[in-house]
Amino acid sequence: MTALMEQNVDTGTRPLRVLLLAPTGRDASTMAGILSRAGFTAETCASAEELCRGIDEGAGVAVVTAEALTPPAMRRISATLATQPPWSEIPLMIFVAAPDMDRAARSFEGLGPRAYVTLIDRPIHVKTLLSSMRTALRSRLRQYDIRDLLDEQQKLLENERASALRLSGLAEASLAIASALSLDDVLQMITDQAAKVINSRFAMIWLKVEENAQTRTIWAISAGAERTRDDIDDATVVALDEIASTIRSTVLLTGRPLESVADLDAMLVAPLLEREGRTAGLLMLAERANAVFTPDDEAVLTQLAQMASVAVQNARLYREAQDANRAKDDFLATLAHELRTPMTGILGWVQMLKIDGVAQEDVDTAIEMIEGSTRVQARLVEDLLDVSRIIAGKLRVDLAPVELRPVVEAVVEMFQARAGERNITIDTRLEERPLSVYGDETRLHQIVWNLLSNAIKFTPEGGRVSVGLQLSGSKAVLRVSDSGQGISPEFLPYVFDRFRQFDNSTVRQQAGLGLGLAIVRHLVTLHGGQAAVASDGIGKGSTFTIMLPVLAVRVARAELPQLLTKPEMPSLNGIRILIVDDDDEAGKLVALVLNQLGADAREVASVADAVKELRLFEADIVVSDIAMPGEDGYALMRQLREIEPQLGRHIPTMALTAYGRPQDRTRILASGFQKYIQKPVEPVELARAIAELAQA
Amino acid sequence: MNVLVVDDDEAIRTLVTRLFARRGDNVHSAADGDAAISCLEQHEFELLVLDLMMPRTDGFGVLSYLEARQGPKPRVIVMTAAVPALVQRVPEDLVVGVVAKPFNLATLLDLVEDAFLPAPLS
Repeated sequence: MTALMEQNVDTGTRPLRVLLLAPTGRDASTMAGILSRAGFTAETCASAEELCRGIDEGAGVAVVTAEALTPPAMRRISATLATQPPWSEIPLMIFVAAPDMDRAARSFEGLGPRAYVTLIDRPIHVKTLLSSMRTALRSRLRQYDIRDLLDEQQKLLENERASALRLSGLAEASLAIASALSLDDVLQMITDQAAKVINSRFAMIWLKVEENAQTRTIWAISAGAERTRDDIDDATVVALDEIASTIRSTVLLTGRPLESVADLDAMLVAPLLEREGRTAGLLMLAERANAVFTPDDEAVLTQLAQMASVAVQNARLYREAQDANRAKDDFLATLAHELRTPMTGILGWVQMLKIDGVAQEDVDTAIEMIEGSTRVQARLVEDLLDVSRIIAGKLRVDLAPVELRPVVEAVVEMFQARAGERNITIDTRLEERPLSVYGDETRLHQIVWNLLSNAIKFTPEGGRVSVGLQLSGSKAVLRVSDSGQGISPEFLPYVFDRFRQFDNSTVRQQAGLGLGLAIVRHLVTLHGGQAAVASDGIGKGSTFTIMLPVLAVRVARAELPQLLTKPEMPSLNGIRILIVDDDDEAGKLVALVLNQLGADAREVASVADAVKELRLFEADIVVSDIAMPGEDGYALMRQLREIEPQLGRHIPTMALTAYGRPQDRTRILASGFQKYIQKPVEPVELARAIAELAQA
Repeated sequence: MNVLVVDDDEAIRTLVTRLFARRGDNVHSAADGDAAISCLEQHEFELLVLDLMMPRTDGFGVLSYLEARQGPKPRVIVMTAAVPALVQRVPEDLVVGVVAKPFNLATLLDLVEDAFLPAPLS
C-alpha cells in the first residue's frame, strides 16, 4: 500500500490522480476528503465535460455516482473513451445504491464498449472503497506499463526503419560509384541520397576538380529542392570557398552561414577530401524535416562525403589512365611515321642507284643521303631501347669523375653546323672553373645532346639558343634556353613524360619520337640530379635546367682499393674525422676515401646532425661543405665554437667546398676554418691536408 | 612539266627532286608548307608532290591554300608515312593519287603517268 501511495504522486507521464464527478458538490468533497486522507490525489469535477477534459489530460481513475450519469453525460463520456489510445482503459468506478444494481448495470451500457466499469455499493464502506481504488489504480499502472512497452517498440521500429533507409541509401551511393556513370551523375546521386536518407529538403555538392590543367566547378543540388543553381550568387561561392578552406571534418554550421542561400539556418557540412588531404569541395545539408541534425546524420553525411571523394578520385584515375593510353596510341602512330620516313629515303636512294646509267653525282648524293637516314633511324632505335631499359629498370650508368665543361663544349660544337644552316645563334656562357660531377660521360653527353637538339628543333630560323653552365651552391647547373615555340601551361607538367609530344596534330613540330626528354630526366635522376623546365607560354621560348651535384673528391669507386698503394699518399691511421655535406653521395665518397687511408670517418648531412654527432663521436677533425640548405658551413662554425668549451677541446676544421672565388676563400678562412679546399679535390691532396691539420 | 616537291625530310626531298629531274621535268622543291605556298604563288606548276606531316604549315595547309585559290591548279600527289585515317581527310578533287611511304619509285612514276593520261573520249 505504501508503495502504491508513493506512486500516487502525479509523474506527468503516468498520472494517477482520481477524478470525482458527483451531482452535488457536497458528495464530491466528502469523497475527496476520504481519498485524500488515505493518500490518494483526488480532484472533483463540476461536470461530465470537465471530467472528460480531465481524462484526456491524464488520470488514474474516474469516480462517478449513478445520479450524475444522465444520458447526455453518458454520451459525452462514451465519446471521450472512444478516442483513448488502444492501450488505455481508464477504470470507471460508479457508486450505485444496492437495490438498483442490476438495472443500473444495464443502463451503463450507454457508456460504450470501451468503458471499464466497477460498480460500488452504496452506502459506501470506506475499506471497500479504498481497496477497490487501489485495485483500479494497479490496473491503470499496468496499462501504463503496456503503453511504455508499445512506445519502446515503436521507437525501435522507427530506428530500424531509419537505419535500413541509411543502409540502402549508402548502398545505392556506393553502387553508383562502381557503375559507369559520369562523375557529375555520381555526385548528383550522392546528393539525392543525402537528402533522402537524412530527410532534408536541401542537399548540395559543390566541388572543384582539376581537368586538363583547368579547374571545373561541379554543382549538384538534390532533386525536388526549392533552390536551384541560379539561387546561388557570387557571395555564396566566396563563402563556400572560405568554409572549404577551414573545415577538415563534418561540422554543423548555424546562424545563417550562407545568408544568400535564402533562409538556410543550420547546415550540416562535410568536406570532400582529396588524396593529399586538401578540401576540394563540400557536401551540405539543410532544412532537416521536423527535427534538428543528429550525430547519426553527421555519421551518414561523413560516409556519403567519403564516397563522393572516392568517386572524384576514381574519375581522376580513370582520366589519367585514358590519357596515358591515348598518349601511347599517339606514340605508336608517331613511331610508325618516324620509322617510315628514313626508310623511304634509304629505299628510294637504293632504287635510284640501281637505275641504269646513274650519274656519279647521284651516286655521291645517294650515299650521303642513305648514311644520314640510317643515322636518324639508328638514333630512333637507340632511344626506343633506352626507354625500354628505363621501363624495365635496367638502364645503368657507369659513374666516374667527369669534367662537365668539355662535354657541353663538344655537344655545342656538334650542333654549330646544323644551327648555322638555319641561321640560329648558339650563345654559350660556361663556368671558367673546373666543374666535376660523378657521372657517366656518354650519358652526360646524351643529356646535353638531347636538350640542345630539342632547343634547335623548336627555334625558328634566325632564332637564338643559349647554353649556360654555372656553379650554384654545390650543384652544377646546366641551362639550355631557346627563343622557340615555347610550351603551353597545360603541357608543361608533362614535358618529361614518356610518349608525349608537344603536339599531336599533323603539324609535325619535331622529327623524332618525343622520347628525348623522358630519357634526359631519367638519366639526370640516375646521376642524383634534377631536371626542370620553364616556359612563359606558346611563342615565348623555353628553358631547360639540369642540376647535378658537384664532385667532392676526384676518384671513382673502382679506384678506391688502389689508393693506399700510391707512394705519395700519407697514412691517416686512427684519425677521427666528421664529414658534413648535404649531398649524401658526396659525403659518403669522401668518407670512403678517408677510411680507405686508415682514418675513422663518419658523414652527416646537416649542421644539426653534426652538432649531435660531435657529442658522441670524438672527432679530431671536422670537414664541412659550405653551401647547404638551411644551416650552412658558417652556421656550423659558429655552433662549433659554442660547444667547444663543453666538449673541453678545440676541433680543427676544414672547408671542402665548390666555392672558388678569392672572396669566398677569404670569408671562409675568416670565419674560423683552418683550411680551405675546393671541390673536386684529388684524393692525395685531401689526405695531405687532413694529415697536416691533424699534426698542427 | 613544272613540278613542285615538298617534304621536310632532306633525303626524300632530294630523291624525288632527282627522280623528276631525270625525267626532264623542271623541278622546284620546298622543305615546309610555308615555303611551298610562296613557291606556288610565284610559279605555275602542273604537278605538286606533297608530304602531309611537316613543321609549321603542314600538307593540309597547302591543300587548303590551293582550294581557296582561283585559276589553274596543279594536280597533287600526296606521299605520306602517316596513319590511313589522316589520308582520308585529303580533298579528292585536288589529289589525284596517294603513295604510302616507303614507296617504289616506279609506283610514284606510274601514278604520275595515270594522272596525265588524256581523258578518254566519250
